[in-house]
Amino acid sequence: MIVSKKINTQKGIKKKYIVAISIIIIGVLFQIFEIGGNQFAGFPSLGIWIIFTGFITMAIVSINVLSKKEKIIDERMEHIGYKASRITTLILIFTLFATMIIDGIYTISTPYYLYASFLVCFYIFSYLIAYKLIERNN
Amino acid sequence: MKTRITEFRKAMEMTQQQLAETVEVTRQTIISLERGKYNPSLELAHRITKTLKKRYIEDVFILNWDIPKL
Repeated sequence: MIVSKKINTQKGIKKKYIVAISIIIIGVLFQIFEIGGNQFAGFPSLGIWIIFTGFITMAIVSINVLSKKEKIIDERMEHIGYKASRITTLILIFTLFATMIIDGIYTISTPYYLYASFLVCFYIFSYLIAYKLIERNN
Repeated sequence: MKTRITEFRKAMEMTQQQLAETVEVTRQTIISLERGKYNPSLELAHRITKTLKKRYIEDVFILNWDIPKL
């Protein structure tokens, strides 16, 4: 186990920017080759939505660069994170199971992309709550 | 696990922040260790022991465990 590691380092920030730029490039390629249908998640096309996601990623990275200096993640935080992710995964499995049962009772007509985005938000939200609760007791 | 970190740290006139920076962890981790809520890794225990200028880990960390009778 590593005692601590630094995040928000120059190298880490570069990697995050590379990811953001890659997402934008993928979006541009989708737009050029007209992959995907029109009207996706409230956007004119899938490509534009991916470009938008790339810019949001870039904005988040930039906010991190401007607001925070190098930050330490130590073994206790990793330990709490591990516990939180285990709990969150269990919650996610139960949620999916509940969704299957509800779908059996009456058909869910929510578009798949919308359901998936809800699920991602739910996962992040559950993780944050689980992390804070475990942190309080550790 | 009970610890004597607070006692030795105060004897050295060291703050939690200073100890945390020396052993490269966050202040919250030092607080948890002092309260006995978190069991550190062997490496962190060694680092703390060295920083507090003690010879053995057992001087700082007290294990409440006895060998079970077979």
